[in-house]
Amino acid sequence: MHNTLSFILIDNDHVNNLINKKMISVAFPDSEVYIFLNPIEGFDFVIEYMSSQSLAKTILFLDINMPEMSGWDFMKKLEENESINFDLLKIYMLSSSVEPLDLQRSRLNKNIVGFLEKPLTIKFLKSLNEKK
Amino acid sequence: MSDSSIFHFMDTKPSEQLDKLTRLAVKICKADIGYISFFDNDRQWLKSNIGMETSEFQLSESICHYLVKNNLTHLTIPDLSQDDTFKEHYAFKENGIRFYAGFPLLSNSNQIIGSFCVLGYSPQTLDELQLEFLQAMAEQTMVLVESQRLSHQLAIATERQEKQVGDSSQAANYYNSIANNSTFYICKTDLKGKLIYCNDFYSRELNVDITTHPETHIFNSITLEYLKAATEAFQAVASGSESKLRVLLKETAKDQNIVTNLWDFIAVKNPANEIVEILCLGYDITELEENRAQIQLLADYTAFQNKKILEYNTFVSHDIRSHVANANGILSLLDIITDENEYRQYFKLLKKEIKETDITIVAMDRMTSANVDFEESKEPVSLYHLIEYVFDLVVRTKPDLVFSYVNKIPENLILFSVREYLENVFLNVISNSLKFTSNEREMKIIVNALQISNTILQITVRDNGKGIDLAKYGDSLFKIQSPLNDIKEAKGIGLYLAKKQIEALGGRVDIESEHEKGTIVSLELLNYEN
Repeated sequence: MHNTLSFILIDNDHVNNLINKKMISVAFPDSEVYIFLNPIEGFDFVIEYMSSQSLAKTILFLDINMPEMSGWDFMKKLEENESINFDLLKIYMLSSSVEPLDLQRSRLNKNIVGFLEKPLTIKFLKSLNEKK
Repeated sequence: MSDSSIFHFMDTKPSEQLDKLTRLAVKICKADIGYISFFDNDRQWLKSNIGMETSEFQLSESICHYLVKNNLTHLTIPDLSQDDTFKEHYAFKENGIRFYAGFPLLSNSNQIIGSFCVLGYSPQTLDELQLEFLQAMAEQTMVLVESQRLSHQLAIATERQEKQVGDSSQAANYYNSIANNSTFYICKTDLKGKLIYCNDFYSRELNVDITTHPETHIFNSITLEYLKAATEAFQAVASGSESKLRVLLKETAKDQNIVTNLWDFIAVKNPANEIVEILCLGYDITELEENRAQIQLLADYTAFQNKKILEYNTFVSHDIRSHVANANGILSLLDIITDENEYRQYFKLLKKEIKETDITIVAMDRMTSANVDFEESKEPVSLYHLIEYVFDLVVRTKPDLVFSYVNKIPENLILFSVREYLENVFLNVISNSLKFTSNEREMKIIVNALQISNTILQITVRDNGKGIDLAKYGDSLFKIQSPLNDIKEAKGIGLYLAKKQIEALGGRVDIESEHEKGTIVSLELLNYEN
């Protein structure tokens, strides 16, 4: 488990989750993937998951446009929680449309590693190995 | 040419005053003939004549010629027949003149221009008093002549002036007619704004008559909200701080119409460079102003439309691109998947994504054409049956949803409306309700209708869902990009479309929500009670 990556997908679009899960399983066959359609449920999971194990790096793909809680509200809430170690939780914002404002916001936030346009690609996922 | 021609006495009518002098001189000197004559080259002409048969003769034939030739102060001949110089003279030989006494008439430049003479058929010697008298008469004549010359000049000057006055009054009439036939306001005021002159257009359009109301001010017709601007501009010109100012004013014209006029206030100065009056030129730009307002309205409407297009763009970004992104993702998976069953599954998913993209585009197309005139598509619609139809549609398309509903619409309620719009509106509102189902209880939707006035029917869609945080989503709830309404048939545009269609039908939509209690959507539609 120490050398494998964990993935958390939070997106209300289940088709996108399905695709991304498949992509991850192709790029990292041994990885664990947790999927949440509802960001509130996803948030509770992230808090619990990050406090229960502290060694494995976890990649979070967070959608911006969600009805119950936007990706930005999710981030705000997460940053208010002091138990989160952002060295271990690598966060990528996901969106189907590139809004310059969202891109700017991602760049300005030190806890966000990157801003990605959907869909994920195998090439990008494989590059995560090098960053490990 | 002698000075007498300047005097304009030759050939003019007799002067009664001069005749009096001549008559007096004849009497005093006991003479038979007396005359006052003027010379013009070789001609002698009698301005006043007592006793002479002709009033004009050759100067060379006259005794006076001798007076002029020798530039004498006077000439007296007591008896021509006894005088060496004149015993052969025509006057004696032909006319029998024996006695002559003549004094020259001297111009200002001391030139002899005429003569004052008495003559007799008998020899006579004048005494000193008589000579002095004649001398005085000659001088008196010149005073009269001078005064007549002046009055003549005055007459000419007066005549010229009268002509000028005539000309200028003609010009004034001409300019007056221009001023009065124009479609410009032209007026002059004193420094306080009191009208001194105004053209017919001003009188007519602004209902002003300064002959009956001499205390009319230019500000009288200006509307209250423009009065400050008008007086400020006028004061600036009247005080001399500006020589000319242009200002746009609204005024109350005849029939209480409000007109928009563009005014120029111009300071008019006297030769001493003091401002004496203000010339005001105005031009009615009401029509221009109305056009400008129309254009502004159009610009505002265009800006509004542009905002819609912007929202539309965001919607395209969000919804269409999310389908496209999914399709792209599936396509790249199809490249790497080897299992045939899995391949077929993903291929099915791809077809679904493409189909949903198409549905979204169709829904959008419907939305953009929501502005099309729909009066012709109105028809009698039974609201009860329409609601039943919509719920049936929802149940059929979302068989996994668990909910109940109560349709409280009276079965006999008939709306005259566009069926398709109403179906869409209720489909969107109900789908939205079902999106916010509470985990605590089974979803229940109640639809009711109430005629709240003679013309307005209120339809409420009440649910017991978990409620919508209106403080957070209220603003964006009815925007197209709102991801709240994520139903598959019209992704993200549901409530926006509902609102737009309700508004197109002349109605309005309102939403209330309470956390964990539910949401009420009120739709108000035009409906005449009978």
